[in-house]
Amino acid sequence: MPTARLRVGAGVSRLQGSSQAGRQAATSAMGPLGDEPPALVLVFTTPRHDLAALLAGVRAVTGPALLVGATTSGELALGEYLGFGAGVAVLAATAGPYRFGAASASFVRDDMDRAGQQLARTSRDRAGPSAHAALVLLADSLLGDLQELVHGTYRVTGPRVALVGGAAGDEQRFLRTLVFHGDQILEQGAVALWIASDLPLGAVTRHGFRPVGNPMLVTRAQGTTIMELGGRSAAAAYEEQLGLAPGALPPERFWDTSVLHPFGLRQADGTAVIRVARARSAEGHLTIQGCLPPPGCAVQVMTGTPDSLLAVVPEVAAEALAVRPDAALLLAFSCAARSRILGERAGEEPRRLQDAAGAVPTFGFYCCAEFARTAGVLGTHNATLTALAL
Amino acid sequence: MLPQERTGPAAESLGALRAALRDTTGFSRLLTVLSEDIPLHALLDRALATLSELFASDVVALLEGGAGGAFSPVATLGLPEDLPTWTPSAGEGSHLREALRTRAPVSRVVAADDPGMDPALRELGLQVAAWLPLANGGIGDHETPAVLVLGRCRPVAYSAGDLDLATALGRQVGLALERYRVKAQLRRTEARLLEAEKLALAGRLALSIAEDASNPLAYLRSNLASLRERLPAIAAALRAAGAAGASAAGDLAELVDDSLEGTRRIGRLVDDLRKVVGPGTPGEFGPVDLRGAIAASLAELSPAGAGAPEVRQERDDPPAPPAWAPYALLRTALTELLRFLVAAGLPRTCPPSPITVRDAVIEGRPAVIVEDPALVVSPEEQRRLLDLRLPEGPALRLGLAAAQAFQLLRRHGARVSISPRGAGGWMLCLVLPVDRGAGDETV
Repeated sequence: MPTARLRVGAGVSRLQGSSQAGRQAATSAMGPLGDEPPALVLVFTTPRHDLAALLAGVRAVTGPALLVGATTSGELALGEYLGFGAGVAVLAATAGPYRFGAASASFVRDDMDRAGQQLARTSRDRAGPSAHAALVLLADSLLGDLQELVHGTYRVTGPRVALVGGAAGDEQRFLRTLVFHGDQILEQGAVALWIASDLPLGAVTRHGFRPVGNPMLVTRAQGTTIMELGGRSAAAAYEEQLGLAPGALPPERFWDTSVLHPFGLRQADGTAVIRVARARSAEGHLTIQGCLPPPGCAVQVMTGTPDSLLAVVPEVAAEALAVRPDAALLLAFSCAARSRILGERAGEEPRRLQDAAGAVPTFGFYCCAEFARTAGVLGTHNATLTALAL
Repeated sequence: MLPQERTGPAAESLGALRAALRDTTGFSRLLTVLSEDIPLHALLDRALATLSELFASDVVALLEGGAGGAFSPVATLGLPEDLPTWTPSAGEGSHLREALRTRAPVSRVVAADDPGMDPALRELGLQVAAWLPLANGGIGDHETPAVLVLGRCRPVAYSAGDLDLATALGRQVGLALERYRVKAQLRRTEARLLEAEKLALAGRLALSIAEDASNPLAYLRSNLASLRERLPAIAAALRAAGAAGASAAGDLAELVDDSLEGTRRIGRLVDDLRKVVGPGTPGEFGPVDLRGAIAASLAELSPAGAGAPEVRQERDDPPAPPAWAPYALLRTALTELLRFLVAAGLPRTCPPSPITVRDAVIEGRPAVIVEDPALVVSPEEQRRLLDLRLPEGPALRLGLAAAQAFQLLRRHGARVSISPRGAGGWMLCLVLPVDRGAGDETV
């Protein structure tokens, strides 16, 4: 049974050349490992790189270690924020007390539930049996309702396995997002990393939004689109909640406002799960990013400020580290919507996270939907900061 | 521009309204799911996922009672696939049994020293669990006890409001399950009705064919018999014509004999068809006095010919209770069986021993036992006696009428078995239902 302490290193690069950037970030990441070979490599990168060259560059340094990753809408590593452009962040980790297994699949849009089951099952089998475990799930953010994928994994894992992760990004263009497994760059894909552990692991999630206005009933929805709220055009009802005249938020300006005022899906404990409408159609339909408030549920317009969003960061770190006080790594998955709201203060979130984590390295990326199951089957979020301490 | 957050009494009122809204939307969400026209497993899956979200429950299970007080999951959410098959604890002292007995929700902290706690729920890491009896302890028709189980991995107890709302929603899931089952039963019944109509149509067609075929068959047999009588004269004429004629005369006799045998077999089939699909069979269902039915079937038999075995009805035991069967069909089955047994030409040990028929009780059900100690039937032939397929070559078969009658009785709850007797020969047991049977087509 492996009992060694987990050793991790993280590196970033802003070089324009993809291969060089991969090598540079990986070389930095490998440093703290000394002579010990990595058992796991995480790669989070801007989609602007030549991804094959980037991965080849990383693997030229890390060797054949298990590698998973995704394109992003920004990376975070050791308190540093890499915004849009040319950033790549690489994490190298020894096995320590854990055993890792990964599985991936392409073109899973048609049956994400089954894909989720298969990914969880295969990655679990590759990691081997254990008393406790966590599943890190990365997926193309444009697949549709990603909760189906989460539900599929939950059928296999049950509640004892912590789930975290995020949906890949493309710097908020919403055109093409990709995940990686080894040398593979997967289209319409998902990759699952199973972390087998002898000690409990736990996911943590916070957002920092508060409700405003009145609850509204979702009366018509399909896929990831809300057509009606309270029997009316969803866009008109949304505008009304914000005190705006009908049509005041045209499609081209919608995202600028909606990112500040997402929907909150009320939970049993009084908290809200966030759902961000990223687009409105001319017909007044609202497209939610990666998941949907199901028909029949009530939603409220929420509001958040940079300060309220940043206030939850130390809570996330503290709660995650409370689960694993001996942690050597804090994996974090934040949302591109948060960095957009934070604007010029976007760098404060990873910095505060690292400050709160102290000597524990922080590493992660900005997603287009976050995965964290903390209660019940619902494990898909927007505009949320999630974390797992290892 | 944004509405301001309420404080003070306004906030309290808003809180109460939000709670009411949560309950209302809980119902609306679940009813939206339950109204979807999707397969049952998908419906239950979505319903349980909705309950999981509404009550922040990591485990949700709908359990249904079965024989002997055992419970089994109809649908579950949150059970990992590597969990061994879950048999919920439902014995005396279990929380499930307590919920059923009190007809009220039971919510407990999952403690290691709680003897009423289901060990599987502890294994899942639950910290709080609740058992909610559904609608007088039953799903839908209130006859089958059902319980909804909720569990949380966090130490957050279910409130009384949670439990009441979850019970109400669980009842809706139970009703949806019952509606689905009723619809499925209706579809099966419709399919059976359609099948029955098709069979009836085929039967009428068969009867028509049998009626139409009987006349030409009769003169064909008559002509062949006449030809057979004249064969010696024809053969003599052929032999007089030379060697080739002599050979043809031999072949001709064989051909005519084969044709006669063929027409005899076709004749039997036509007779069977008329018996099977003719009027009066199968008749109305009702309680049948088996002893009386046996006596009536025996009375229908023609006097036994030379060498035929005797058939006796035995009445040693108390009469069997009435069976639930179509009387006319049962009579047809018994009469045809006995006709077959007393037919001349069957292979029998010498001297033939009497065939006995008696009513009996087997496993609490009324039965008819026919024992034939002398008919020589191989185990393979015993298995195929009731075969509906037409025999190829010489084979022992009861014939279409009897086979069809036994088949129909089996479809309506009877059990038929044929087995060797220890003292020689073989026996047939026809075990009948005492009420409307569910069918026993796999026998």
